[in-house]
Amino acid sequence: MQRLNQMLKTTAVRLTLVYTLLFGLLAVGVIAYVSYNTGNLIISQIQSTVDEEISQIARQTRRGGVRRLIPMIERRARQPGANLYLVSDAGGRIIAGNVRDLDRDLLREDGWLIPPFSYQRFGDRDRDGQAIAKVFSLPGGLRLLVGRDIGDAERFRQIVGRASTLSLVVMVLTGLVLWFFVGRRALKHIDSVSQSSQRIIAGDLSQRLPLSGSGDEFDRLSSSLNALISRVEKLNTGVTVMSDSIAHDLKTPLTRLRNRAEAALPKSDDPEVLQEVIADADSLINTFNALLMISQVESGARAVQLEAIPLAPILRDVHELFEPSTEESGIELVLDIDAEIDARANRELIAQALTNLLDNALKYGSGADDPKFVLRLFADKGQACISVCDNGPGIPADQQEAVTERFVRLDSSRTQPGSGLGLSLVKAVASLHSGQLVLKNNDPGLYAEFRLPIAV
Amino acid sequence: MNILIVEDDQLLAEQLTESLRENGHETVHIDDGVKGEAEARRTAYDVMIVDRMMPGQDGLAMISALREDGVNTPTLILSALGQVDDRVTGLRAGGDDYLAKPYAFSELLARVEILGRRNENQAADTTLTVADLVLDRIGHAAVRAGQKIVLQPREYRLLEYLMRNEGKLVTRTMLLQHVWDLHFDPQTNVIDVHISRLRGKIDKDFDQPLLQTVRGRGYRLAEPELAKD
Repeated sequence: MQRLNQMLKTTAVRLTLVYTLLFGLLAVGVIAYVSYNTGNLIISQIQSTVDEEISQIARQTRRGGVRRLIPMIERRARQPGANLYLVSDAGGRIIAGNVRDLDRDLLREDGWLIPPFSYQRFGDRDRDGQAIAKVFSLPGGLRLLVGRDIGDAERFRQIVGRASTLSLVVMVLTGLVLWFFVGRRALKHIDSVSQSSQRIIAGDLSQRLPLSGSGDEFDRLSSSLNALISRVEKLNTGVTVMSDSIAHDLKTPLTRLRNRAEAALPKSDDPEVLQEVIADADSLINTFNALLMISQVESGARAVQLEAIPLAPILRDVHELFEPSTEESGIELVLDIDAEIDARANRELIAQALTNLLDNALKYGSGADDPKFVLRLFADKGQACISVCDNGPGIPADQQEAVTERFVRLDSSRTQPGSGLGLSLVKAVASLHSGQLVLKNNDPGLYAEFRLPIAV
Repeated sequence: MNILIVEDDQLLAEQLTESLRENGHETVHIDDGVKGEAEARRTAYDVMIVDRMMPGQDGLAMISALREDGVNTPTLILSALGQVDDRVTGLRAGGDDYLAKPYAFSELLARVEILGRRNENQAADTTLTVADLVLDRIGHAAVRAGQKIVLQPREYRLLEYLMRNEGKLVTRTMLLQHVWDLHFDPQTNVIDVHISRLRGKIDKDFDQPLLQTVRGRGYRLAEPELAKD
């Protein structure tokens, strides 16, 4: 259903739909026009034939009187495929002709009887016919009706109508089929492009949009976009390389500074100041270490070994590590192992990611009256999921994406210590495991979910 | 202690030598892997500090070669790489501990001193004793001044590690590494809370505190009169 909905929204499908509708309406118009004109043509032919006959009959009646009229009518009426003839007296009684019965009121006035009326013909007992006719007054109060059955014309009209309807149906069906295939093809193309785009948006800038090689408009668009992505990738790599080299190059002198301060500590008159220098240097070194660690994790699976390991013990270890800290802060830390799951993972990195998540929860998520963190392992849609949730203030939905970027911190947390790198590392660890980091609202609080493929 | 430094970076080696000597250790510096291996075979050192990346023969090859021939001098590997899995390969090659450059000297010193201790303490004593605190390594139970102390499994491991390294400084990173088998820098105070829990059990009801905090560095378990900072 959703797929159909998606298809209805594609340009190709919309165009096909509009064209089908337009041609359908046009065809209906043409058919209506043709059948209207066909009808009119037949009727006007009948009218001229009937007029011709009446004037003949009138001429002969004037010449021969009413006495010659009756046999003439009878003769004409008996001819095969004859028109309708009827002569009645002034009272409406039928005197001659081949019409057995019709509505007598029709004879009252001279002139054309259109639209068609019903009548019965001699020898045709069971069947009502449809005809148009002209009524004409003859001397002596007699009334003459000459007309023609329009059954043939109606049948013709029906044939034309049926053929037209059939062709209309075929056309609409063809349109729909075309619509389906064109739409599906376009959709398939768009789908593969948007899938690649999603991966690129998710941070994998090495991805490129697929090219079909046909050189069509999709290909041209994709290759332009690919060039754009290459450029972005290059710039992005440049930034990362630069921040890494800064971190790397500054770390050595910074460590030297720290070690000198430490060496001077025993001889110092004011050890407090030196202790603070050391602490500050340590926090800077930690930031640089975190930055380098993220880059290293991001830069690829080559350096890190993944092996199929059970995840539950990692959660138990991390839970055990944090349990005293949370208890001291009056937080209930719940460990919920839903299923024993193995995943291809690196224990150290998973543990560090969970440590970062719990550390964040401790720093920013413990504001509730009744603070509670849940560390949970479960399987969902064929993936191993590790979730860490708190019931603190959470992260606004529009910033959940941004906080996984390096150095991005919420304004409300700037007063707290921290480097803004914790979630970046968690995200990098998730992608290294071919998994994702999902942040959601826990209403209240933050729900962080770490999804990775289950090992088979 | 007698320490062999195998390091090709002259400046770094000098700083290391100077700092270690200030802390009362004897050092010998060799600047390449092949000569370093020969020196390690010739003389019995308490600890070796070996740089991983060196011209001639790299640190890992040197350690593997020594281990194959039964030279088991405790070794701290230094590496400029600091990669997640370098530690694993370093330890697999026969290193006993691993530190990424650049390192805080106090961290290096703490690790070297503990490595030096390893030989004496490696003998699987069934009990460890510090002052009036006795740890039964078979029954996993602690007794202080005749009073039984109930320990959680992790508290036992923490206390055991501290007692095995009696009188030595242990850093938070080392505790996380040896007690939890996790090898990253604990940025939080989680370790401190574990220590204060343990302190509550072994020190709270007694006059003499054994578990001391060394400010900005780590912890040390020692008899009070032996404690120094």
